[in-house]
Amino acid sequence: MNMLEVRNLKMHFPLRQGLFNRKVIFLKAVNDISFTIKKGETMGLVGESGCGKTTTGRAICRLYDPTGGEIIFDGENIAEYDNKKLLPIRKKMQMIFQDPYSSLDPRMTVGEIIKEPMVIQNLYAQKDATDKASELLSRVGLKREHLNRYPHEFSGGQRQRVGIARALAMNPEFIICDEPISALDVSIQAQVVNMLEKLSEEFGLTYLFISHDLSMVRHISHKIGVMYLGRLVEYAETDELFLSMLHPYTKALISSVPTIVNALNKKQSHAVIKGEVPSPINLPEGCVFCKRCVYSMERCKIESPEMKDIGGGHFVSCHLYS
Amino acid sequence: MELLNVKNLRTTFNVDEGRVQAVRGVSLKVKKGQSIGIVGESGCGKSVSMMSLMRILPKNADINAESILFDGVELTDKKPAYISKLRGNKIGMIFQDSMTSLNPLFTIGNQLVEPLKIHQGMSGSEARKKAEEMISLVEISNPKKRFSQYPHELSGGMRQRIMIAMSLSCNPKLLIADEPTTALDVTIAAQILLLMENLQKELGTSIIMITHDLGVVANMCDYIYVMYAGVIVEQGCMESIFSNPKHPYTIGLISCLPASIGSGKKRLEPIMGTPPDLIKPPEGCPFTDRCKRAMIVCKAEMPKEYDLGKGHIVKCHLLHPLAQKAGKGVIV
Amino acid sequence: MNQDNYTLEMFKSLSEDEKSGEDIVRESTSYWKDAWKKFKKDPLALIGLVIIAVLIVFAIFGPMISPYTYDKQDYSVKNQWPSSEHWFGTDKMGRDIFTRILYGARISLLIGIASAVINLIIGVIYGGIAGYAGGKIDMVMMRIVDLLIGLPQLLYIILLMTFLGNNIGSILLALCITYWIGTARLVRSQVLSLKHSDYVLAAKTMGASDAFILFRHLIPNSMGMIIMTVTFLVPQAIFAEAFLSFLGIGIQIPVASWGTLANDAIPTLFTRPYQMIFPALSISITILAFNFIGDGLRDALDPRLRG
Repeated sequence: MNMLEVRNLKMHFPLRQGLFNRKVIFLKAVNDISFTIKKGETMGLVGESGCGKTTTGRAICRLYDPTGGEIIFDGENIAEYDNKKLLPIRKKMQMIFQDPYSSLDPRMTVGEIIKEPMVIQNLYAQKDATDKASELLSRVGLKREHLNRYPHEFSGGQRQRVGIARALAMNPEFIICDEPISALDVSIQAQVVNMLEKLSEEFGLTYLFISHDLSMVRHISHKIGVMYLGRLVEYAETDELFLSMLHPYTKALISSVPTIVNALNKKQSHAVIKGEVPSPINLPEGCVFCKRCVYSMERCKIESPEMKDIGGGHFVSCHLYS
Repeated sequence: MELLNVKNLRTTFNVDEGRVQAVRGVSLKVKKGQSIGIVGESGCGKSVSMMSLMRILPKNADINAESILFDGVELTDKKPAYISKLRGNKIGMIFQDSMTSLNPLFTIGNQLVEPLKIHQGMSGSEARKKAEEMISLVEISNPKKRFSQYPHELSGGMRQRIMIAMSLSCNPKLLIADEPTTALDVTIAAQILLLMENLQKELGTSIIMITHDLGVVANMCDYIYVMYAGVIVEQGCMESIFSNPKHPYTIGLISCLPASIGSGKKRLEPIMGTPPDLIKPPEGCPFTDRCKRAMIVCKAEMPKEYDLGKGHIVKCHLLHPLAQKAGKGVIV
Repeated sequence: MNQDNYTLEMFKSLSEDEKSGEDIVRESTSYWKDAWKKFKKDPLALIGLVIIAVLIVFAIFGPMISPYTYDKQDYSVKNQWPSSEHWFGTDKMGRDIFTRILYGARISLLIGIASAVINLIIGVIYGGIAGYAGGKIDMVMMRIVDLLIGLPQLLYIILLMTFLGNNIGSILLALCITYWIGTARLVRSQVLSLKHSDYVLAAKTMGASDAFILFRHLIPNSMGMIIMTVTFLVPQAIFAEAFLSFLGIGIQIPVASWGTLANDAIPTLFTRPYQMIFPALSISITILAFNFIGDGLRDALDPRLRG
């Protein structure tokens, strides 16, 4: 049973250039991507800055209106729903944000923050809401008396947990985690990730885990999608991806991460690719990775590769495999 | 041959709410050509220690040290003017955020040339030539074109390379790199780290690498200091720290990393709780509240340093002979 | 303690209760408590607060206590210098100036605060909508504002007063035509910078309507800015009214505002300077006090300092 099915999703942002801002060019942040997430699964979405992973998360959450494609959430295509139709859907899909300092309204107490979704969706009576909020707080490892405190009195990790409690307030089925641990210290990251896993098991939650931290994504995800400049270049079950990294970018990404294991084995993590990450404005013809790829051929410059099913749920967008 | 020897550095900040004891007795050494790392999480005092050395902290900071010997010269009794002559000249610094470290109003060339003219007394054309050499040294193509560009015209990775070029332009003996790759993408960070390694081999500069990333420090540094709540809790060469860690914090930090448990869906082992408030730092070992093996003595007294040989030093009561007797010692 | 003096007892495990864990050590402070703490440290701001407090007390209770009324004319005591019977002296019609100053305080404060509140409401709503809506709506609304600012204020205030007569209501109306614009611009820029915050996005993911986001998130977070602006609006209004009355186009006698009193005192400026000094001082001190408070608020509410 599929929780989410994304088909040919596109997010193109128009930018104005030139004299009198007449000329319009497009920033193709997300450029035709497709993937599925089953109920109870955790899918990781990795890539570097500008790859479009955050935009994908926000498009799915309907914070943006997609330029094209379908977002089939729990059987319904919500890509073109208006705010009214989206209201009941929003209960089922929530988001956790990266910055624990800006994702909580500094003027509201923790209690008010957690109760906010209940207020917006009119879920509980006043008294019940406070009890529910208190219960949510204890579920994320904080105490009832914290309800009357303000965000600035908590540490980053604690704030992130408040954000998680808020996301759980409406009993959602699907949570988009947009870089939820990037702003936290290492020891706190582990706390938050463990909590997310525990909650997923307890409540059967489905996650889309967006991050640039490959090792954490590997740990928490059942399958992983690798994005580069708005395209999904490779997509497979986690173990399969790390076992046989097919796309040159995936190889480069994984081998660029310095690890303790490599250091102890005196293995050098050599940077395999040179060059900078280009801008998603004015994308070149052909494969987006062509300019930095050591395996690029003539074909790569002209033709953009299609997503191909290699078998066993492993998909790659690369001419080396077509 | 020791390039830097810091003994008992203490830094306190005077704020409205009281005095924040950010650095509480830090001692470290750097040999010539060596690359050392200081790891720890936010608030542990690693950045503040280095900024204390360089005297680039705000006025409400109180800096004290028993001794700071740099290249044979005692720095504690020198005036601020002396230290500022060292900065950019004998000691280079790179920071995390290259966008705010570079002045957006001046060209790259202008900013590269400045330390050369001030510290090395070069003329305009000499400085320009050297600056262009430095731009090529950090593997940026087309140095002449880059010379007249502004910081916002370059990508993050390129700006960081320029920062490295600037810091190395006067051929410093010591380079302090504060989270140099934290704000960069993975593939770019890998390039920068490789560049730093190569430059170090070529120029023989000593490096102090400050970071929270254990992977980076494992691959880049020979000797590592682990900091927590203003104190150094463990120090040793890379192999000792990562294959034989002794302090519960170091062990905890390594166990937090997903890479350490390999594949197989075991739970991570986080360190519960949060670091202590440094306005009222605890009297004993600062890690007590979060330590699974904490003992009564840990809350009461700060442990002394135990030397395990080969430069591996640990500040933990678990190494006291009585701990062994009580059956608590011997960390696996 | 010497390490050699340790006992075996000390090496027993520490129980979980003895560790601190997740406790928050410091007292709970909200944004306002914090701001008040900082405000208290500013001596000028406190002086300003005291002055205004005293002024308000005098304005409310003074006239009831005073043995004189503001319009009782007694030509037998006209143009007297300050004395123990008439603390501020009398004017050309024998009216007690001190009492008139007290009544004038009522009028100035009333006009100042009322116009500040009205301008605040208009400015917040206008600026909030413009900032939040963005795009074409924002553009149109801001061009209207530009047009209004372009008109010479004094000119149309005078025109308005001529048509509507010289009373408190018409002055308030006149002051409301453009004084809200500063607030509107400020609120708009605050809202513009805050509307992309993550907590606003979070509210959207919960299905919050635009109005909800504006009034529950954006405006409360701009409150500090807003209150500070209002504090500066009051002296502006007081000054405007005083100025108009001084020119003779504001409040008319016998109702006494400070400006009117100053106007009355023009003919006798050199012979009876006290008649001008007291109203002028009242205006200046009040405006200064509000400005001190405003400065103190601006420093106290500085968002850079907390969290």
